[in-house]
Amino acid sequence: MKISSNWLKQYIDFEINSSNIDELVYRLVLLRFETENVQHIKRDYENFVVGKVIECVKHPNADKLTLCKVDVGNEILPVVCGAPNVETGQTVPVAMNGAKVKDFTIKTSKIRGEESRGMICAGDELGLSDNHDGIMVLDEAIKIGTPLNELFGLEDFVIELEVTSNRSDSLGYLGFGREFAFMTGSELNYPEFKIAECEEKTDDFVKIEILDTKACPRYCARLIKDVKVKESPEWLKEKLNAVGLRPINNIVDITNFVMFETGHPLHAFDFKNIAGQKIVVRKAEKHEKFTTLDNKELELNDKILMICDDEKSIALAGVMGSLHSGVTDITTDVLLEVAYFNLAGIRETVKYTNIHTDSSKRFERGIDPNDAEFVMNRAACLIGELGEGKILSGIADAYPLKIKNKIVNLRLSRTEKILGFRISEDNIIESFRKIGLETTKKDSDILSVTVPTFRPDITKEIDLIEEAVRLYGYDKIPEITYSTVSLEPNENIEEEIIDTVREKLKNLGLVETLNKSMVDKKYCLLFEKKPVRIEHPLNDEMNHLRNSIILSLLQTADKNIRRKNEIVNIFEVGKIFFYNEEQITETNSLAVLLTGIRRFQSWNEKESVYDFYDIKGIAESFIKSLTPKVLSYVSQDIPCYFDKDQSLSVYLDNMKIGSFGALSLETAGLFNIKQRIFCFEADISGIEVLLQKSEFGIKDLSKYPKVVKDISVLTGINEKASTIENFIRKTVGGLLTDIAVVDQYKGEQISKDKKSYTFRMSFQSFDRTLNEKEIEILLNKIIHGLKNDLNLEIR
Amino acid sequence: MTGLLEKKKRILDDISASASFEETEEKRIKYLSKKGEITLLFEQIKTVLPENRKEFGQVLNRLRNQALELINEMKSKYSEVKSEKIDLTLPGRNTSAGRYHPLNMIKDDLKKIFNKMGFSVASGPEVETEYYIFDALNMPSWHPARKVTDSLYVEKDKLLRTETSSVQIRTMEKGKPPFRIIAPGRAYRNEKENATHTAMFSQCEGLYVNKGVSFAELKGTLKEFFRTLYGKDTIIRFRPHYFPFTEPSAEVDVSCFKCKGKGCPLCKMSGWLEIGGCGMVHPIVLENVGIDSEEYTGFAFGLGIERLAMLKFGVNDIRDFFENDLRFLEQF
Ligand SMILES: [Zn+2]
Repeated sequence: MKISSNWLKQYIDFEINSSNIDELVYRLVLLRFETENVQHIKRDYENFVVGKVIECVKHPNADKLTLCKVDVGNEILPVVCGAPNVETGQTVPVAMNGAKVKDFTIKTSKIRGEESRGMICAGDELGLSDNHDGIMVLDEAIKIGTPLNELFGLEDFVIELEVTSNRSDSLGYLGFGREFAFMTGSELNYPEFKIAECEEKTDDFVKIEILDTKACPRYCARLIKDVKVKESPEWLKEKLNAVGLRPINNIVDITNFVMFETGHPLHAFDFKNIAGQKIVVRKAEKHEKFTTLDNKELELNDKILMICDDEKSIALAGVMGSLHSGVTDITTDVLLEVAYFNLAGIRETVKYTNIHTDSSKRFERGIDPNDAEFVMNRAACLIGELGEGKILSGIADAYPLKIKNKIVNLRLSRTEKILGFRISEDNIIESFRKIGLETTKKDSDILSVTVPTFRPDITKEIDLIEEAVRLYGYDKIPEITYSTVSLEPNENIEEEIIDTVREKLKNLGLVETLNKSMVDKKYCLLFEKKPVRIEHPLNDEMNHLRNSIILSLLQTADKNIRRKNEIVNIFEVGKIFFYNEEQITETNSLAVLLTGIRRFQSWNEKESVYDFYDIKGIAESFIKSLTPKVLSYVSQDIPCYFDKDQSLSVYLDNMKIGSFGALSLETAGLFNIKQRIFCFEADISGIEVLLQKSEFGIKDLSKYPKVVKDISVLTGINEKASTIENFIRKTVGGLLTDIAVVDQYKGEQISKDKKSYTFRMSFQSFDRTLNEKEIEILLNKIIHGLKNDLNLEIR
Repeated sequence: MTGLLEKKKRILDDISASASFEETEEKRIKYLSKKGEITLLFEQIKTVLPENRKEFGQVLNRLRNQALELINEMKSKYSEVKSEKIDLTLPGRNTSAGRYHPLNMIKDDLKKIFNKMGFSVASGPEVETEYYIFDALNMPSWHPARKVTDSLYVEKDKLLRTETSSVQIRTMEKGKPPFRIIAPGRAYRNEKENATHTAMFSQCEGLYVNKGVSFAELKGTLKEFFRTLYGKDTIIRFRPHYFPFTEPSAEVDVSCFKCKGKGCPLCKMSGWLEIGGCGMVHPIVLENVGIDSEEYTGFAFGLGIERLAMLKFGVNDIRDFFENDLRFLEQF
């Protein structure tokens, strides 16, 4: 909604100028009118006057130029003019010395040898039109010497307001003016007019029949005959231009003007095109066809409200007229419509047709049903004045059930309770009165408020409380902090676990990423869970919800690889979505992805790339940081997108916690990645179980020395280190406090189908120092067992 | 005195004769421990003639210091570790530290501050029914946010939540007041993306329902929060607004932490930063979850996490947060 200060001035005696505009805009914000933009329009014609051409002679040295003598009141100026239409006797705008025409300042000069002391202006040079074909010729009646500022000078501020979607009253100058007058402490003056009716009666020419009074509670019409359709006068065109409307003809312009003035849309029909002198308001039939005035064919449904005559439909009620029903240059009799339609019905039409107009915008929010007479008379009067029409007496008014003002009670105690501070009763009553809400006191606590029909947004006490604090001023609301009332803290275990997991993964040197939940279907298919489809995606990149965090990490890895980020070590903890037995399910899940270079070459280190043992190390350290329990790592139940030969799953007893390893080459290939990718994934629900079953106890530390021994075992090429390790643990029992593989050897010194593992074992007792003898016995037992039970060779 | 000087020579010679680190340590125990020879000599000061005591003490002190010095010298001679000159200008060995995502850093900040103010963390599903997103929140059927094409529907009546406000309903439905929660999480809109909008974004919802909760307390609470986040001299401003689920409603501005309200490019010269929306929980919303709106009142607010992060870290394009370019992430 654009508010022009020049237009607003008609109703409110308050000057908006350069020095108060900023403050006004700020105060409008506090009154719930956000300003999108303020345009300062200024047309200043300093040193321009009205003159009369009293002589025209051809320029002696130039064919296309004329030497003129121009009377500007107090003197007669010689002016050289290039326009083809200049003639003796014309009244014209003259730019005198010092006047600025576009970027050029007029001064006395010689043009082809002849003196010129001014310039006769064309419309475009004054910024008044696009016309540059010739000079602008003014009305002869204008006095010579009149400063041009008196005719065309203008200073206007056009404030573009954002009106919240619950307020309809502020979409008109008078409604907005009510708030503006309250804000500035000035009075709102309604336009005054006197309607001159002729003897013929509207009722004798038009019958109104409303078939759906719920959708259309009120319909008013008035006939104006013998109208001259023509261009609107300057003042009207100027106003419409200021609010961004294109002037069309006087009749259409008046309906628009009155709509902007009152906030109540109206419509003008050419009465000659209305068959049977009858207006019928009814719902459309299914598949009924309708052609809009901008020539669009629509097929309607039976929820859409139509304005019809005796034979055909002539408008989509409250939204737009039909192609041939409107006012044209040859129209003589105009039927004016001022109606009130139910909000929901108009919304239905707008939703179905997707046609948004200035009219529908207002009806959708709800306008005042009871200002119809005022609106009608105002428009009729203007048509009588500017279109020289004959206004038929009376209004054909179908309003079977009058909509009354509401009474809403406001408790002062409740107001204070909601706001946390008191606004005085007087303050409330007075500010309500200024915006049209009359109050009467019911008792010491209750104010009975009459809510006029132009405020359909107010229906409840809470609406009045909001109104009270809005008018009081949001800037004056005190800031209260109570010493925090302590409440039972609400435990959110999952959220805490997620944060723990994030912290552990970050501490392992990984970088956290956050990826979109929406993904392309082609990626989802790779993962096992049945993905969820999005119904109206903006594009194919987001037509499904991700069913795996690895999917997201792969997209991010691909992007980073393409950008030559060579170390990719990332994780995310977030939601995945999938169908579980036809039910949409969302769970929190974590995934880690490693690919590319682990370490760059440096003075003390060779360049190395990520491999299986990096992801295994991450998985192991991560789990070790969460629980003291020993979990099993087995080749079992590996998801299909992993490479089965380089992946393991982690189990706590019989429960799978997660999987890790290299992704299959097909998986990487789908994401266009040529290098090896290593991932670890687990569900947060599994981590929760892990944490529930684990209590970290502080282990007693032995005071006795630790003895460390190495043993190298020659095994078959496919033998697993964990088999030997488990065997040694079982053999030694409690005295073995630690065992680890410290070397792996394949090569010349041993046969090709063998490899050698070196295990480093720590022995320690809680009650004594282990002596050499005991250690030797243990070692022999191990060696014996490895040889005889596992058939292995000791090196 | 001469006896003392002889003793001194013998002791120092004996220490010098140690042949290993361990033997030197044995000598330290022999001479300087609590019952060591030198320690015991100090006790003899009492038996010395008063006029000689001062000198005796000085010689003894010197002996103890020399012995200690010698022992340390011998130990370092036998130590396996040798000090050597190295090039101090070579770069240090790589260790990678790991990082949090900037949006989660802000989220963690919010949780920490609001926790101190007595708010617990709540969460709810991201795929929700229209009831939790619109109906229960008093969103009229004609509200622009309800346009099917503006939201990401996955089934009839099921869509990705357009606001985290749905968690309010979920929380209140489950228990009895009082409630004091925040709910940080993701929300979605079917929107063309640009430098200030993404189809997925993060919000932090807040809700406090109790007897006697007021609009003024909402303003006080948010002010407290922003003073913790942006500094003690931060002030806030409420602007009236319309939200269906709160009344009265306000948009919240915070005085620009960069220019302290004087005007700078960050705040587009206004001195204020737009940060979120808030208001008193609409009585209809309370009634929808079976809370007596006469007895209880409540406030709710929603803060945009990306907005807070963009302001804090000076990020100009919201899409950067979801690009996950490691060069970007490693700056935080
Ligand atoms: Zn600033």
